Amino acid sequence: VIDGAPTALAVRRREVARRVAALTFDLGGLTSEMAHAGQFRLDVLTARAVELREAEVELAELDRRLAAASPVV
Amino acid sequence: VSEASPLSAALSAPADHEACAACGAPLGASARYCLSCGTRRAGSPSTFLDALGDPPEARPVAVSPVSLPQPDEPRLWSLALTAVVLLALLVGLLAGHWLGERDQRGTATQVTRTEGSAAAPPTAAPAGLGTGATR
Repeated sequence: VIDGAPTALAVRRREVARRVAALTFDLGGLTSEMAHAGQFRLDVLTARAVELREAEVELAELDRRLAAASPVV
Repeated sequence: VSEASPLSAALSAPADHEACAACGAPLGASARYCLSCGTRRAGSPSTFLDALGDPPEARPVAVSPVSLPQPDEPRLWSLALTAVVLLALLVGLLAGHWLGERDQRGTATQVTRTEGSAAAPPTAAPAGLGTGATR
């Protein structure tokens, strides 16, 4: 748990973490729905996966900055 | 792309009046996502929020150690500490092995001396001593 982490970074991290959770949920739901429908659109899935990956990279960067700002004790 | 499953009719058939808000493609009656652009249907519940448990405001912010792209200083320190411990262990093992070998060599010499005076092996010892040892 980070004590005294910069508030803006922590708030931003919460937003991005929720976004990563939502994108992961949506990618799984979309894949499941395509499987049920028997209509796989790889371009759509890939675009969603890229979006998720970008959010994950941003989350990792925020984690790194938060850890650098206030090391975990 | 492939053949439609039995559920495909229910999922991909155009609904009476519903179309994707993002691309305008027709949505199936029970579809949660647009299969053309992947957008979640408007008003479709995000049940993952329930699975997350507490609202994010109440949860402490924790740092995930998994997804850090660059090795930071604490990780380098732990790696260095592990390397030092392993090195010390290796040196200890080598020293123990060397000392044990030396002790064994000393003991073996003693045993040889003792056996040499009492009973030497018949092949290596002269015939007189060999017969003396068997007595």
